Amino acid sequence: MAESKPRVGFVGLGAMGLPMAQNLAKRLAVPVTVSDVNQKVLAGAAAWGGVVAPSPAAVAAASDVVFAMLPDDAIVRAVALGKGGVIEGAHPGLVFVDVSTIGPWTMREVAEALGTKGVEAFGAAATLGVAAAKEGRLGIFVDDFSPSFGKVEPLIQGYAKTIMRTGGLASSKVVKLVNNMMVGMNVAITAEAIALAGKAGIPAETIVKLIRKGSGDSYALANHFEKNALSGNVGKGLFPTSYIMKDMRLASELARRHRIPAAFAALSLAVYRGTCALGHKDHYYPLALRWMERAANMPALTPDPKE
Amino acid sequence: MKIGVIGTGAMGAPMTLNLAKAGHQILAYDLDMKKVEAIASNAIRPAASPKAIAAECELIITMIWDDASLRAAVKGADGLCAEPSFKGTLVDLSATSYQVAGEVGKALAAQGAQFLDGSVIGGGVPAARAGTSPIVIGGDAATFERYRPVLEKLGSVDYVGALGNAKITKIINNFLVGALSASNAEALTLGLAEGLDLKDLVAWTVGGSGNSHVLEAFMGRYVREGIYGIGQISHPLMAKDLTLACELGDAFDFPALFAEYARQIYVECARDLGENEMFTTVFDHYRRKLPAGR
Repeated sequence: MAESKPRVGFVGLGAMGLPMAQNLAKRLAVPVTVSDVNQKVLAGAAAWGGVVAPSPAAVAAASDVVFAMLPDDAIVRAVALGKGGVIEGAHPGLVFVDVSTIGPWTMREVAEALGTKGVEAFGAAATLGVAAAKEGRLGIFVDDFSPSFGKVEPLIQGYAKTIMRTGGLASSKVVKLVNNMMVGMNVAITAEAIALAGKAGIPAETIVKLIRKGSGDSYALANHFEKNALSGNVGKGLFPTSYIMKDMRLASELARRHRIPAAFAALSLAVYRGTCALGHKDHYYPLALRWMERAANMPALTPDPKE
Repeated sequence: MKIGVIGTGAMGAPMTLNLAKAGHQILAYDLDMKKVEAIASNAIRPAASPKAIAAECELIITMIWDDASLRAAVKGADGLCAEPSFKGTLVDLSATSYQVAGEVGKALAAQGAQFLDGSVIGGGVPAARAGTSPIVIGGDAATFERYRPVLEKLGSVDYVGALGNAKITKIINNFLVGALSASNAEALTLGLAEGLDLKDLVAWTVGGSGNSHVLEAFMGRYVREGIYGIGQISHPLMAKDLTLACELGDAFDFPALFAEYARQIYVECARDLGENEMFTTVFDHYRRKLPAGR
C-alpha cells in the first residue's frame, strides 16, 4: 500500500468540486471515485476519469483518501456521519479531508465521530474561487497537524497551486472564515461609502478612482467595485450574495460561541439579507449597493446585472 | 509667488518647506507661533495674523485643526476677510467639514476672493515630507488650473468638481479607514479566540481577498515590529472624522449604518484606551474581549 498511489475519492461535484476532482484525475493520472446528489453531473464523470459510486459510504469503501467539497455545515455532517455517509464506509487507514467552507465546530464534530471508527479526518479550505479551481491553481489552507498530512499533500497538489499549512484541527476553517468575514464586511462598508458619496453628488467612478489612491483602499474596492461592479459585471457565475450571507452567518455563529460581540459582521449580514430580498441572491454581492440606494431613495450608481 | 500658509503643524510644516524649496516666498501663521519659528528661514517668514497674510499674498493655504479654527482664520477679527483688499484664493487642505467649506466659500466670495476646498486623502506625514500626498481639490475649475502647478509641489493632485467635493472625498476616505480598521479587528479577534497566531492570520489575510491598505500598513507592521505605524490620528479625532461622515449622511438623507456604528466604537476607545492613543489601537479594544491568555 505504501508504495502504490493512494486511491482517491471526491464527494460533492458542484461549481468548485467538479473542476477540483477533474484536475486531480488529470494531474495525478488516477481514477477518482465520486458521488453527488446531481445525477446529471455524474453522467458525465466517466469522460474525465470519474468512477461513480452510489453513496459517500461507497466512495469511502473504495478509497484511501476522500475529499469533500460541499455547500454547508448540515450537508457536510450528513455526508460524513449520516445514512450512507463516509462513516458507513470506514476502514483502517481511511483519511477524510473536508475542503468546504464550514464552521470549525462542525469540522471538530465530524473528526471526533469519524475518529471513533478509526478514520482520520481534518480540514482544508479553498481560496481564489471558481476560475482558479478550473485552472487548478487554488490556494489551499490545510490543517497540517496530522501524521496523514504527508500522504494527502501530493493529492492536494492535484488541484492547488499554493498550499498554506495552518496547524491544528479546523484551523484552516478559521483562517478561511476570518478572511471571508473581512472581505464581506469590507464590501458592505465600501458599498456604503460609495453610495453616501453618490448621494452627495460624486459619481461612483470618480470616488472609486480617488479612494484607490487614498488610505481607504482595499482589495474589495479594487476587485469587487473598480474591476467588476462599475462595469456591470455582477451577474451569475461570480461569488453570489447568498454565499457571502452564509459566511457572515458562520462568522456570527463563531462570535456567539466565543461570547464576543461581532457587530460589523451582524450589520453586514443584515445588508446582504436585504440585498437578497431585492432579488440578488444569485448575483455578485457588491450589489449591496442596490439595498443602500433603495434605503436612501436614490437612483442606481452602477449597472444592474446583464441577465 | 508669495504664498500664505496658515497652520504649520505635523502636515503643514513639511508642506510649507516643500513650497519654499520650490522657490516660493512664504508668510506663515500658526496659533502656536513656535511651530512657525521652528521652520522659519529667508524663504519662510512668520506673519502676525491671517489678516496680515491676506494683505500680502494672492494664494493662501490652510492646514489646520477643525471647523472652528478655519472659521476663525477666515471670518475672525484677525481673519482673512478682515483685510478688505484680499481678492486672492484660499485653498483649504484641512480635515474640515463639508458644511464649513460652503460657509467659508460664501464669506470669501462676498468680498471678491476665491475659495477651493481641498483634502489630503492619504500618505500621512511621510508623504507630506516627500511631497507625494494624494490631494483632491474642488471648486472653480479655472482657479484650480491657475494654481495647479503650485499645488503639485505638495503631491499628486486630482480635481473633483464642485466646491465641497474634496471635503466629501476626504470624509468618505477616512470613514473607510476607521470602519475597516475596526471591522478588521473584529475579524482578527475571532481568529485569536480560536487559537490562531496573529502573525499568520495577518499574513494570510493580507495575501487574500480580505486585504486592505489599513490591514497591510497597520496590522502588517504591528505583527512585524510590535508597533502600529506612524503619523496616525487619535481616537477622538477618528471619532470626529466619523462624525463628519454621519453628518454628511444627515445632510443628504442617507442612512449611514456603518459610519454611525464605527463612530461609537472610537468614542468607546477614547474612553477605555485613552484620548491620546492612536486609532489603530482599536485592535486592542477588541482583543480585550478575549479570555485572559489569548
